[in-house]
Formats: sequence, structure tokens, C-alpha cells
Amino acid sequence: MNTVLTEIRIAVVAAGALFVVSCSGTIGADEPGGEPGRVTPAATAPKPAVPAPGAGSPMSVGDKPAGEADRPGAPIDPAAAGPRPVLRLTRFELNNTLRDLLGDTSNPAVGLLSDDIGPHGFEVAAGVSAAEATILQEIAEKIATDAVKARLASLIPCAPAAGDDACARQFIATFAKRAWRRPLLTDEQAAVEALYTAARKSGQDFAQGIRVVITALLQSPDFLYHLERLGSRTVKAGALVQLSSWELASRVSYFLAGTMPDGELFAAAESGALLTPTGLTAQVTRLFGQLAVRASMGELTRQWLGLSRIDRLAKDPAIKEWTPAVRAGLVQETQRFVAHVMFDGDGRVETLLTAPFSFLNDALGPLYGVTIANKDFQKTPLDAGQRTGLLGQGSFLAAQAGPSETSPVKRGNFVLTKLLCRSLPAPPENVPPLPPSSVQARTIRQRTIQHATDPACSACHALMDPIGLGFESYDAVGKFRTMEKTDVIDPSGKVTLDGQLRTFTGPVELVQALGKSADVRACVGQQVFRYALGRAESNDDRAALAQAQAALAKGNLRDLVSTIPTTRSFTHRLPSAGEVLP
Amino acid sequence: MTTLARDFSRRSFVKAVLAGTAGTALVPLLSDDWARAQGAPRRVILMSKTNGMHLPGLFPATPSGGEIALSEIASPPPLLSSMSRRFKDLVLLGGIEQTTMKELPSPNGHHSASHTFTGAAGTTINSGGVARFDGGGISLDQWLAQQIGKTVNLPYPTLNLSVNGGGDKISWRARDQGVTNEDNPYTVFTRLFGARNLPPAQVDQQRAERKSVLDFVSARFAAASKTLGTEDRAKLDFHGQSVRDLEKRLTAVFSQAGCTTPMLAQSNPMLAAQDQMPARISAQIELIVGAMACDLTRVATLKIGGFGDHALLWLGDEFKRLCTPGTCSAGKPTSYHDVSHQQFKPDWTPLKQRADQFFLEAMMLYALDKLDAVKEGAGTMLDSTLVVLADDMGNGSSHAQSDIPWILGGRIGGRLKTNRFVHQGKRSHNGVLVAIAHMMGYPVDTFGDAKFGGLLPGLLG
Repeated sequence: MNTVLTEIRIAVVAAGALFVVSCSGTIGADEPGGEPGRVTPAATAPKPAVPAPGAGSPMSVGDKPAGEADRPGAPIDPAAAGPRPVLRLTRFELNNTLRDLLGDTSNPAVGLLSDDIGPHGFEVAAGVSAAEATILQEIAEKIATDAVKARLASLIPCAPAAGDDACARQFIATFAKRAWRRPLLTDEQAAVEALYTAARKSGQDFAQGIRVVITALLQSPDFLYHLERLGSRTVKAGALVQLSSWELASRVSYFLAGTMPDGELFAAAESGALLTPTGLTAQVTRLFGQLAVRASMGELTRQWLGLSRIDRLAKDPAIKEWTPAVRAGLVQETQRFVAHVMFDGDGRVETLLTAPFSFLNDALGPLYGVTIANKDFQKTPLDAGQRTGLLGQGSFLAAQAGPSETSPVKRGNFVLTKLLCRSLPAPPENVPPLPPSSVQARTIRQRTIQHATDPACSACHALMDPIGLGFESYDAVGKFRTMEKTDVIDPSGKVTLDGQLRTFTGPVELVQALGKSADVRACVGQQVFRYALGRAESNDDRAALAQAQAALAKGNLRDLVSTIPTTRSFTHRLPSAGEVLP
Repeated sequence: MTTLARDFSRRSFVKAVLAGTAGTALVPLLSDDWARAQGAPRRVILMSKTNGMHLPGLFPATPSGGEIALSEIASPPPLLSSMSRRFKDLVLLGGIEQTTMKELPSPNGHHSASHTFTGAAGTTINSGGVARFDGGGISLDQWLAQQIGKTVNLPYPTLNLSVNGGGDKISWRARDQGVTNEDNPYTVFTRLFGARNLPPAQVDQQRAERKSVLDFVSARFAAASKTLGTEDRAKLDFHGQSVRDLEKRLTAVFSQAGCTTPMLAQSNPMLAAQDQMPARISAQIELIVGAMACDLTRVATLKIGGFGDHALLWLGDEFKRLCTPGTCSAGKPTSYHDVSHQQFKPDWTPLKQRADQFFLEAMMLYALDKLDAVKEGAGTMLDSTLVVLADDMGNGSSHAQSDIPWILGGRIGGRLKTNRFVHQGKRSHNGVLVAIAHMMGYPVDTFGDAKFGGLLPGLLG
């Protein structure tokens, strides 16, 4: 149970290569290191690898055919781009796509399918064993049945009563193109038509024939996956693939709107306008003006900040404030807050961290010491001497805490990984809990410091704990406090930002320092970049990542989000190992 | 022994589950007209639980000569004794180690269930700061299903179920291609038997339509994966294979005359997880036995999900009390995980033993009883079936990967020599996997990573 680990290692599989990062016992107490991770055989002990924030990825890509900059030290090639793994639609994407394709608002993927967390920290749809295939079959059958029953007239190009084979062919030509997000090849079109014909021959009527076609299209990989393998062309002597206009339309749409392309985007794909810089920018700008971008960025926020876990987060029953309404409210608060800063405010990272307001309702009020009349969320000023911004919100403070006590370790780790992009190894599985309160170590601060005295643990803890202790001003559910039982809280600590060790006296100073930090800004850019690409960045993405980060540094989050689709990494991809190019 | 009944209705099933007495209406699916000329097929049920057992309460003193008849042990420890009515059908293995764990970087005994049935260590994958394992390779259930599939097309090559799902997967099509367990007995029931009370014409039509759709989808997967890179191709091929599994289901679902007349209910209630765990374990076992009786499958797995954090409220008031910080998860009822870590404190030992005994009875003994209650040929289904209960650790307090309880039961055509405690010194669990393959009719030399050794001697009859 108490195995002493002299070194903590974790293998990270990214883009086909195995990497190991570690905190070894040699990391200086306040020195975050700064050396990019290296490809290291799992069996050998690597050097400390806490990457310099903003300097690109801790990982590089191995085993690939024609990488431009495999080695971290290689010069940055502005024409390079990383590979793109084939991903299945996440639950969020699948629900939205079924809504926009067929008008089905039942969100069928919720509760049936599950997504994993990918190596880049965002969700990826899980592998499909027979269980998932059965669920996907059942979803397709139900959605198709419902659509034909309730909305057939809106789906087909003729009156349902006049439905004949010609009408079906026309339906297939237009619907399949939307479902698969690309034009069908001649033989594909014929295969779909054959399904309809077979259904009719077996005695099914027109509507049932349409239903069978929809059922089949929805179970196809062309619908379920982001397939970028058809119709694209290679550039740079085969070293790089430029996405086809259809593929780019999908990528842009799923990033900005979380769903399939709309009519105008499809039209831009069809005409090829999307492949011109002005055509692409025009579409990005247009999509930015639509409501869907808020939903998509809300999803990004949910995944980035791990908001889903709040829903099932258990707290000590003695903490009466921890109600279902509070749990649900905290997720909403953070999503509304981020959307506000991003779309209605100045869009600056500093504001995300230091805004003296939040969005609260009657359930959340008591947690923040304010009274709100009803359950509608409203922009509410906060006592800026107590808390500001994202890190003053319960979605962080309560989620990154134990059931009855705070956890400076979790809070510090969150800041390091989510806001500073500094990779830490996964913790050992059987870390003993904090020692109980004793005469020598009474407060959480004292017990945390005692807990980390083991030299095997201190290397990582020295990075996390001095940050996390800054949030001791908030209890296990995020309420502001000045006392821990009979002891006065000491929320002071230290953090290394932009290459400098900074000390702070409490959380407000800490978040102000974080808000001004170029490291934090670079990391936020990196997180959004990862979400947009569905993968961790590689060395081939350094130019594109830097371009995105520069847009954020010069401008705001809106500039970041609208710049990413125009980067090389977004419009091109490196072929995967073993891929057969056209 | 129960007499054969044809009233295999979903309504009575639901009622029985809710009353905690599922089984009497569910199990006897077998029809007299279903007599196989070539004898009953071999079948295996692989079950996995976690948190180990109270080893002093289970294992007798190590016998000289490697084995001793269970029925001749003078004073069997209490957990072993609790199974005495089935000694004649059982083998308890001692000295089994999950050697694969030694290859993994720092799991400290966690996640070992993921390769209990693969016998290969695999690697740890960091999924956004959360460690998960890739299983290391194909698991025994999937491998057996592939072998069986060479000669007979069964609708469910494997049936993979769980109770309180989540946690590590135990069934793997290949490395990092984990098979998801179905946790909801009602869903399982509907899929296995639900369509059987539709009119035959409608059933035929649905089957023909699904066949046509899945043919199309299969072809799409083949076309799409053709040009992909190696990793992406593996991902799509895994999905494509799952689609072909669905196709296979269509060809044989209704072939057994003995499996008719269930009723399809409209609702699909989900039992509350924690306090209904006993009923859910029973229901899943009955569904497995029912599916095997109909020859819908010959290979099944059952996993107690999660990492043992489930409460055991039905075992008595001690299990209802909330934990205090320092001993277990504060604010939650005492869980199996908690009692396993605290088991060597005198006042906790009886709780651990009571919990272990519950799993022995609810899983092992229950499965044996249910199989033995279904008449088949001159005997019962138990004559042709092997039931395996494997833990993923020995001493659950330290997560030890040695002295892991493995219990084998059933007669599987006389291929398992029963009524014995077998202890041949420290042996890798791979040897047990090899032995199971032999009993199922596939005499391989090794299973999983070959360096962990071959057949555990002394098991085969």
C-alpha cells in the first residue's frame, strides 16, 4: 500500500509515439524546468520534462513518413502541419448533427454512448465494440423511423403521396451529400439507391424505403467519422495533404458550430470559394455571428475545465450547501461567464481571470455571499477583494477539492495543467490521504507541506502545492473564509510565471499575476488549438500554434478562435503512417 | 431441478427482478425438442471481481503434494466452508499470481482486471491525466469466440455483461480495443429475447432489412479503411468487425425452437444501482444462462464494475454507517473497497468476510445452481459448462498480485477435475488461461505473453 516511488513515470501515447515525462526528485522547488519532453524508451529514466509553456508541445510525432520538423530543435517550418487522426463524432457533435440533418432534437447520444479523454485533454469518441455498434444501430433506426413518421414532407423533394423512384433518387442525391458532408461517388450513389430498390422489392412502401436509406447512411463511417481521406490533394511533393473544400467545411463547422456545415458553408465548399483565403475568412466571420458558436465554445469550456464531473461530485453530507441545484448551477455559471467574456466582453484572458463579476442565481447566491431573487442567472458583481474570475468560481474551487476538505494539491495541479499547460505525470495510484490533523500539523497548509516531505513526492508537489495553497481562502465548496477552524488562513504562496518566481499573499494577487502572464495566455491559445484540431500539437504545428497564440496576444479570444481555421495545421495535414495517398 | 417452462416472459422477469427473486421464471428455457445429436457444446462463463478476498478465511493450509480434496479438508476456513455444498463441482486454486502486473510502471495493483483474461501486460495510456490500460492483447473470451466461430455462427460470439459498470474493461478484441459491457439487464433481455414475440413475418422483414443495411455499412467500412494510415485503419476495422458481429446475430437468433414466446414490454426501467446489486447480479447470470441454453452464445463474461466503491447496504447495518475520514471515503457508506483495505483490523475482518462470502454466493454458487437447474440431455447444463471466478488481486489491503483467488466450477464434460484445492507453488495466471482453453477444446501451449508460462498442470480431467 505504501510503495515508495523514487520516480513517477507515465507513458503518454500521442500520435503513435510513446513518450514519457516525469517529475524526478531533482526538480528545483520553484523551478519549472523548461526542457521539452523527448522521445524516451519507456524503460529508461528520462530527465525532468516540464515543457516551457507556449514553446510548443511536450510531445513530438514519431513513426511518420515525411515530417518536416521531427526534432524539437529543428527550425520551425511555416509550411508544415501535423497529422490528423480519424475521429468519430463525439456525443455533442452527433446530437447536433442529427438535429441539423433531420430535425431530431432528442439528443439520442446522451446516456447511451460515452467519450474518452484523449491525450490532448479533450474528449474523443470511444472505440466501437459490439455494444456501441448496437447502440449506434438502435439510434439510427429510431431516428430514421421518427424522421419519416414526423417530417417526411420536409425531407423529400416531392409530395409524400407522389413519392416514386425518381423522387427517391433525388432525395438520395441531396440528402446523402449532407449526411456524408461531401458529394457521393457514382458507385456510392448507386449502392444507396440499391438499398432503396431492395426495400421496395421486399414490399416496403416509398416512405419505408426512405427510412431504410436514412438508417444505412447514419451507420456509415462516412457519417459517423471525421473522414478526411477522399478528394483531398497532396501538396509539397506528397509530404502534405491539403484538405478538400468539403473536408475543410466540416472542420470549420465542427470547430465553430459543433455541428455539420450549413447550407452556405456547403455552397462555399461546392464552389471552391472556401479554398481561397478570403472565402475561408468570410465563412469564419459569418459563423462567428451565429448562435451556434456560443454552444460550441461552451462545449470547449466544459471539456477544458472538466465541468462534467461537477454533476456527480459527492461532498460530505454535513455540507448542506452542496445541493443538486448548486451542482447544476456551477456548470452554467462558468459556461455563461466564459461566453460573456468571449462574445459580449473584451475577450481578454486577463478578464477571464480577474473579472469582478459572475453569473449567479438563487441557488448559487449563498455560496458567494450574495442574495439573488430567483433561478434566472444574472450578472452579479463580486467583492473583488475576495474573489475574481474563473478561479474564484465554485466549478473550480469545489471540483478541485476533497469531499470535506480543500485540496491545495488538486487546485495547484489544475492551474498548472489547464492554465499553464505544464504536463505532470499522472499521480501514483495509491497516494495516501493527507495525514489527519495533529498537534504538529493542524491546518490543511501544514498537513499538505508535511505530506510532501517525502523526497519521492516533493518534486511534483513543489510545483503544485505553492500555487494551490493560494486558494486556501475558499473552503471545500468554494465559500470564502478567513479561518480554518481556530486557525487564521494563510493563503500566501508562490508561482513561476514568464520565467520569474512570483510570491503572492493571497488568491486575488495570484489570479492577477496569472491574468497578466504571457505563459497563461499562451496556454489558453494552446488549449483552444488542441480542441480545434482534436489532438495534441506536434512539432510540425509550431508555426500554426505560434500564429494562433500571437492572435490572442495581440487581440483577444475571438481573434484566437477565428485565426485557428486559417492556419496551416487546420487547412492541411501530414499523411499518417501507412496511409495510401491518392 | 426446475421443470421446463415456456413462459419466458419479460413481464415476469421484471416482476421477479423487482422482487429479488428473478430466475424461477427466467431460466428454464430449454425445450425437450432441443436435443443435440452431437451432445451439448462446451461453454464458459468468465467472471471478474476486484478487491481480493480475506485470504486466511479462504485458503486452507498449503497441501503437500500440491492438492487436496476439498471435501477432505478437516476444518475448512469460513469462506471456503461457505461453498461446501458445491465442493463436488469446484476447484480452488492457490498460489496464482498475476505476473503481468510486474511489467507495468506504477499502478500498484490497480487496473489489474484489465489483463486478467489477456495474460499480457500492455501499456498505460495517459488520457488527459487519467491512467487507463490497453489490456495488452486479445482476451480469452474473444479468442475462444474466434475459435468457435470457425465452425459455428452464433448470434453472440461473446456476451459481455457487467453489474455497476465502469472501471476497467476485461474483454479485448485486441490491444486497446476494449469491449464494452452491457450493464442494464433489461437492455440485454430486449436484445436477446425481445423480438421473439413479434409476428414471424415482421421478424423476417426486420431481419432482411437489417441484413441489407448492415451489408451496406460493412462495405462502407471496408472502403473507408482501405486507404487509411495504420492506426486509423485499426480503429475503423474494429468498428467494422463490430458491425459484422451484428450481422452474424441476424442469422441465428431465432433458430432454437425452445426459445419462443417471450413478451416484449414497453418500458425499460433501470434499477437503482447500489441497493439492487444482488438482484442485478442474479439477473445478468440468468440472462447468460438463458442465452447459453438457447445457444445464442457459448462464451460470456461478467464483471463487477467500478473499483469496488459500491456500497453493500444489504449486508447489514454495519455497512450502512457512513465512513469517517482516515479509514474510508468520508461521507459515503462503507464500501467493499473500504472493508478490503481495513480487513486486518479485528473489527473489520468479519465485514470483509461477509462481503467476500456474498460475492462467492451471488456469483459462483448462483451460476452453478442456475446451470444445474437446466436439464440438458441426460444431465444438466452444468455438465458441459465451465464457470470461472477470478479476482484481480489477492490481499486487497495491499493490492497484492500474489495468491489471487481463482475458483473454477462446473464439469465441462469431465475435463475439469473437481473437488480439489490445487496449490503448486507460485504460478502465473496465464497457466490457468491455457488450461481453460484446453478444457474448451483448444489445446494451446501459451496464452497471452508466452514468457509467463504454459499450462498449469493438474487441472485437466
